[in-house]
Amino acid sequence: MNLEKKELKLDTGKTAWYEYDRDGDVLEIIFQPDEATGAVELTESIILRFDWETNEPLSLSIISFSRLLQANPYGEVHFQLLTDEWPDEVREKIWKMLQTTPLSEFLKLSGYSPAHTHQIIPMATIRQPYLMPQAA
Amino acid sequence: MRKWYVHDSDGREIYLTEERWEHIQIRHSELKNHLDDVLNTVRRGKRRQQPQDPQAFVYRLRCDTLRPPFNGILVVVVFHFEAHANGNVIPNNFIVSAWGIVMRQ
Repeated sequence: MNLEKKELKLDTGKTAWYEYDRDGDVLEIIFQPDEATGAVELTESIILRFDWETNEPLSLSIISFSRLLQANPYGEVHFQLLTDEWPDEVREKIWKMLQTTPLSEFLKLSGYSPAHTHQIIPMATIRQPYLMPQAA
Repeated sequence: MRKWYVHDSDGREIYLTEERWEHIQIRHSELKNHLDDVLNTVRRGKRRQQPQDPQAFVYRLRCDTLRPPFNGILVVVVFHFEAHANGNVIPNNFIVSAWGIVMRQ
C-alpha cells in the first residue's frame, strides 16, 4: 500500500490527519481514531463514520478522490447527498454534523433546483484546503 | 503475504491482500473478524460503478452479523490491468477498502 499521511490543523485548533491511498485513490480524513458506532454514505463517493451518542464525526472517506477534483468547464462539481438512504434515526445527526466544523471545513452544502420542479436536491462539494494531497 | 481471491456475481476475479485487510480492520474496526462477510459482499453484493471513475466500483450488501447499528458492508474495488514483460495484459482487480455502514431498513 502506498499511503501518504499528513497532519491537518483544523479551524477549531484541533489536529486531524489524512491518509491518502494513492494506488486505490481513496482519501481518509481522520478526526478522531475512536471506534465508530455509525457510518453512512453521504454521497456515492463519500462515507462518514461517526459516534452515534456524541454526534462527533470520526472520519470522512472519499472514494476516487483525484477524479472528484478534476477540473471541469462549469466550476465546482456538486455531488448529490444520498439523504433517502440515511436511516430516519440518524438524519438529524448527520445534518448537524454537516453544518458544523470539522465537516464544514471539508464539505460545503448547497441545493440544486432542477427546471420545472419545486424540488430542491441537497448537494455537497469538496473543499480542498491547501493541505490536502495533490491529485495523482 | 496472503491474498484472498473471490469472484463477483458476474465471474470477475478480485483479490484482497493481507496488508489491506489489516489496514481495514484498524481503520474500520466494525469489520474486525468479518473477513468472510467482506468477501461475501463482493461475491453477492450489488455493484455500482463510480460516476467519476469508470475503473472503480462499489459493492454493497446487507449484513446482519455486524455489531448494531451497522447492518451493511460497502467494499470498493478497482479494476486495473497489468502489462507483463511478454506483452500480455492481465486484469489486476483488487479490494481497496471496506466499511461497515448503517443502511436504511
